[in-house]
Amino acid sequence: MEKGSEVYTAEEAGRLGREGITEPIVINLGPQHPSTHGVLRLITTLDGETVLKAQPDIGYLHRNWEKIVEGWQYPQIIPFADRNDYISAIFNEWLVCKSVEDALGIELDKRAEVLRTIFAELNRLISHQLWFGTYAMDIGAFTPFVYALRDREWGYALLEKATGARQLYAFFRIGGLRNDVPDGWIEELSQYLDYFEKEAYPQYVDLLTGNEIFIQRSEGVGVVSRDVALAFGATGPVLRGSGVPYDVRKAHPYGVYGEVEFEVPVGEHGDNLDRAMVRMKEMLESVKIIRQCVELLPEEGEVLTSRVPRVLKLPEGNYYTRLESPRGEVGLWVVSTGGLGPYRMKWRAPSFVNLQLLDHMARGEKVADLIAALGTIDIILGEVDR
Amino acid sequence: MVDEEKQPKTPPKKPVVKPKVEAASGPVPLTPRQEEGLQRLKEKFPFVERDEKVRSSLGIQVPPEHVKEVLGFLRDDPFFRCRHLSCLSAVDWGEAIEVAYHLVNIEEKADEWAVTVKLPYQGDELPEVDSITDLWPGADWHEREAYDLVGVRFKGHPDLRRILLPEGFAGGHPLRKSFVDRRPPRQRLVRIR
Repeated sequence: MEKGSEVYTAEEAGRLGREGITEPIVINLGPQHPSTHGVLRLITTLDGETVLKAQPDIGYLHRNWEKIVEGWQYPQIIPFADRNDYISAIFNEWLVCKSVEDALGIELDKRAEVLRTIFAELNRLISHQLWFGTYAMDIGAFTPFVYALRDREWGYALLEKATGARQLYAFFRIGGLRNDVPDGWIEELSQYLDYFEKEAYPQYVDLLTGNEIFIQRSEGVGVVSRDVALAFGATGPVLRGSGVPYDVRKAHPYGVYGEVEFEVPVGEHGDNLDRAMVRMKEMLESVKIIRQCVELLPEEGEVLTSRVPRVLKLPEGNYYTRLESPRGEVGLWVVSTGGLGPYRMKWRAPSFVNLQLLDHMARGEKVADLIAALGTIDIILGEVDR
Repeated sequence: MVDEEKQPKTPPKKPVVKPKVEAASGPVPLTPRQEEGLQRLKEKFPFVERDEKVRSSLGIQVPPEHVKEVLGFLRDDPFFRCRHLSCLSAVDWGEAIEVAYHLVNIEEKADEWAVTVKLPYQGDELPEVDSITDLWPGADWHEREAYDLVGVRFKGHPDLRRILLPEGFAGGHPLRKSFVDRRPPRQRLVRIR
């Protein structure tokens, strides 16, 4: 029997006792469908307009990243790691650098650490802006998408001025950054933050999150309880929306997150509204962190430390490194046999793990809410399929 | 001719010579909490051993038949309380496949434990280990990925089939070291100057 042709009865879908069940019908959503954020196929079993089961079928963008990087040297891996989560590439390169630095005990100069944190938070802001736009589009509002993309371009322009690339940077090096930021960059960054906080963000609230239609549409839909989120290994805004205040930046501080003050926004009920509001608050927290980092930034210091050995060889063993990307905890498992490159690398992609919750979120909801629930998971297919 | 005005006014900085990093060798020393955890595990399960290959946290090596028991203990014991299964992955060592579970206690201490299992195998056979999907439902896709790419059979998994590769993929498991890429060689695109 071909995959996806199974028909689930109402009993299997846990909807016993409801009147008026019609014959369930299996519908393919995707892989080419604008609401699936890429090439994702959802095998949905529907009873009329109600979702009985939604099964994601992934792998359309699979390139076996883990096989390709076997035997590459560690610095070579950085640009290719960027392609995993292409909306927030800084986190991918930081993860590769961090795993080598942690394994070898390389300490960075303060200036490099602060700049890394600034870049990461700027990228988180951009990523959440894109989420804001696409989520609004998923639930049927077009205008916020245009607003979000308008504001995002300034952030991308800032990253481009410093790194030379708009989306895929290859900017972090093991031991620091490729180059220092240009003159006047920090001032422009502050202007951008002022603009975002004073003009752009209030518009977002006016357009969407303060809108009664939006709130009624999202409240109580796609509920994930605290225990379910924990059992499914969800991280990031999906887990925090369910009320678990877990954030790798707080739990295992890296960069300069130990020195700056910020809050970890949490939701209460774990519905679409909570996950959306967690991301909205995180945008403001990112602004707060960047402002403090600008204060912390020392005038002097090497951006690429000279303490890095010329030949990078990890001692034999396994290393597991994690950090907090906009989508959750992204982890890298490196197995080294003492050579120049990894024997095996495993990329723990937060989108991949969080996507498992979609079936749980969508059961018993309408098809339109399935799309909304998918929007609040905020998947990047480059990372899901690796 | 070099324009005089464009020359930098400040003299170039002297390079600062700093000691190079020396990678530590030998087993990583344990923190007091890790010592305590290892003791606690050894009292309960006399067969567990420390896996010194795990260098980023405390690694515990468990025989394959006891994996589920030990992982269930790590999840429910008040000392560990690892409610979060961060990662499940497998690596092929030629004659054995090693499966590694990374657990995090995310509610209180945020500390990390790794459990590793060695599964010996021969040739193309798929070694078996108990599935942990009834402890963590989220292990579902991780296990399917390990089955798909490395070739480990998880006993008791509800729906063990390929996840990333296509359903009818006949080429085996790509992350095995014995995997042969049977695709025809690709023409290299080189610009001739």
